[in-house]
Amino acid sequence: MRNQCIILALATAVASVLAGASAQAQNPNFANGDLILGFQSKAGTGNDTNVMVNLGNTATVFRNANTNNINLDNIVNINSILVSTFGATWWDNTNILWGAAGVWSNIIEGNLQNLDPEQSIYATKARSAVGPDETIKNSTLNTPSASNHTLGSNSIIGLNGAFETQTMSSEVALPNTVANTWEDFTVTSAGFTQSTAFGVYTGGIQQRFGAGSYGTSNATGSPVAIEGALDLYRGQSQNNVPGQFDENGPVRTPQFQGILTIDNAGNVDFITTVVPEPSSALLIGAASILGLGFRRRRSVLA
Amino acid sequence: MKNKFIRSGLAAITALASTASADQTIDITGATAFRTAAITTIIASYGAGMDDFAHTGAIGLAGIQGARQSIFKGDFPGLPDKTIIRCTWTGSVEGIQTVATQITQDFLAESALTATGAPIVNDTVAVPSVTGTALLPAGTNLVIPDLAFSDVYPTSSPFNVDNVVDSTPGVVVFTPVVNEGAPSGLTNVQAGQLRTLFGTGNQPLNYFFPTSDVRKAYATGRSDFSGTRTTYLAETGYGISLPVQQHKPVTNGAAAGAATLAISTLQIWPTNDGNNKSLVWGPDAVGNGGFESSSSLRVAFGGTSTAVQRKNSAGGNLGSPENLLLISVFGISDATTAITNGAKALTYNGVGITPASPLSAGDIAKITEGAYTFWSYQHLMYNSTNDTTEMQAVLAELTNNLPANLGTAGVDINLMNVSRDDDGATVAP
Repeated sequence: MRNQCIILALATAVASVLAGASAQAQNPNFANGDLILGFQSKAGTGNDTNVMVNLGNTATVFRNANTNNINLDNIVNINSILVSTFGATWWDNTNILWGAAGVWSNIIEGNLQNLDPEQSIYATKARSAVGPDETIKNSTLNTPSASNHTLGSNSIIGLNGAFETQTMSSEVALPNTVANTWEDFTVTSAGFTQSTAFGVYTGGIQQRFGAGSYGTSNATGSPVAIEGALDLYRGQSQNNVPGQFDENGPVRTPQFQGILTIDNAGNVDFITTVVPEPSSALLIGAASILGLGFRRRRSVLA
Repeated sequence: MKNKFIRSGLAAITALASTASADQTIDITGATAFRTAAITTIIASYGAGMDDFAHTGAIGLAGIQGARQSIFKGDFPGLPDKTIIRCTWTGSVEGIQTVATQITQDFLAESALTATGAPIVNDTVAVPSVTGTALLPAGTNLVIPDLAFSDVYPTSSPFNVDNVVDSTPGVVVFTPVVNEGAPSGLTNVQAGQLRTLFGTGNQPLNYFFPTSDVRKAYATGRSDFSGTRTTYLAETGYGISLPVQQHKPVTNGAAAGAATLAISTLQIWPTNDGNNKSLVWGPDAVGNGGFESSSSLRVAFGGTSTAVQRKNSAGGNLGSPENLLLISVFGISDATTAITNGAKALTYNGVGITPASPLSAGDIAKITEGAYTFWSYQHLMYNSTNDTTEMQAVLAELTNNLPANLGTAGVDINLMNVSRDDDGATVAP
């Protein structure tokens, strides 16, 4: 028992360092406050794995984008990790669900990060109707109680912890046995009934992939097949921190920020204003010219 | 001390004369909540064969039972030559980690048995007829432990436990506790109330019972290396891996149990708090820390809290001193001490036990028949890749002797008429 050989001792020392560092590892490609895009599959290829992707800071990238008419084209392309995890036609796989969530702190102390107070939760909701117009906001998230909002923040911080300690990358495919992965907080029954997500948003925050398209153009108006569309909301638990965004604004009631979309090439966009497809634009342009000409003619005629 | 020197000299000569000695050392780590029973059982297992012992606690049985580190040497049943057993109590989940992943833990070196000099003192009380030493400085001998006690299942951790061989020689019992000064109407707490309390950090007293008392109750507790924490987060359904919002109480420094003992500050648990960090399930985070050991918590709960300065995570003051209360969950042994010093046990989901040594027959029946569910199995585990005849002999002896030496730690496993399949799982016949 006492005669631990040198090799074992060395191995132990290495193991000690690794194990001790595991929960402390700081992923340089993630920080609290980033928006995590999550995928899970309920059956078939990849049903034991969750994909999580960092889309960037919730406040600086996504907040208030709809007010400012900001479109973000190809925030990230994740086709490779989705294909390797769920198979080549992941976008038509009805076993797969996706959603997004983020928060930078669960402890209310009156601090701001990028003007967001603690417990500023960003979360998605599936668009409830398939349609070509991405500007239609057609989902809602419930307004939680103060305690539930805090519990939801705790849960998202737990999710953040998994992203921060289980990978050093901005995207990761994690076994669903790892604690605090995506599906731990977005429980979905075999019948695809979503439980309350993160303990706070009833009916879940995910969308299920399937046949059909949610749109035909991306954030720049290029023709693509939009395979998924999520409304992104922001709910703040404080509105009285001096200098915060939306000071004196609604408390805990989720506010619409824009639409996350994914096309069948794995490009993730954020759309607040539909840009017409070039062909449509040409038609519109031509129509406009004709219209103007017509009006001119009419005015001339008039 | 003089006798000790003489014995030390003899021991040194003996050691020199037998450099080929086949003495064996078994290192044990894990649950702090169970250390009282573990130490009592180790002492009972050596019986009259014990030659020497040393520990980092105060003089006496309570001292060695509460010590973080201890070492024993003597003739052990079933083993030839001398057997050294060393203990370092760190917490159940940390015990699982060290055994499962075969990483090192700090123990007292064997030389601790012959160490002298202040603050070390002779201890003629802890073990009858044996003179040992107390108040040793912390040992730093890093080795991979052989055995670990845990209040929770190996799978209640994120570590690979494929090679862990587990047994359940006992049942550990817990109780919700409120610190000194609680109103008489605060007698019970529901699982859902504890979930909310640990998740949000504080709740007004009228959340727990109808009252005009405007005080708030704050959550405090242990780090995520603790089996006690794992149990209270599992039993209440909160989730063992989720971050909590706990607070760190600091007292005015008066002695444990003194009438003047008071909690002076209460801080949302800060980051970078030494061994109090929670690192099992995620990175160090504000609110998620907790005491590494139950001793500080136990002491604090014997203090009043009528003028507590709350602090933010950076240490800045939050408002004026506040009249508040603390709620946490203790193992029965710690609860017994805390209650003696002024704390109060709460019933859980309407069913209560009175922490005592031993538990009353009526309270034991509540546990063994299923009415009271705030308990977990005591586990004793080792790694199959580190299996030896000597370790098995110690394991067998401890397992045999535990039921008779449980004291305040829990209930004899053989009395249980109900069971549960996992931490926090349904209790049923």
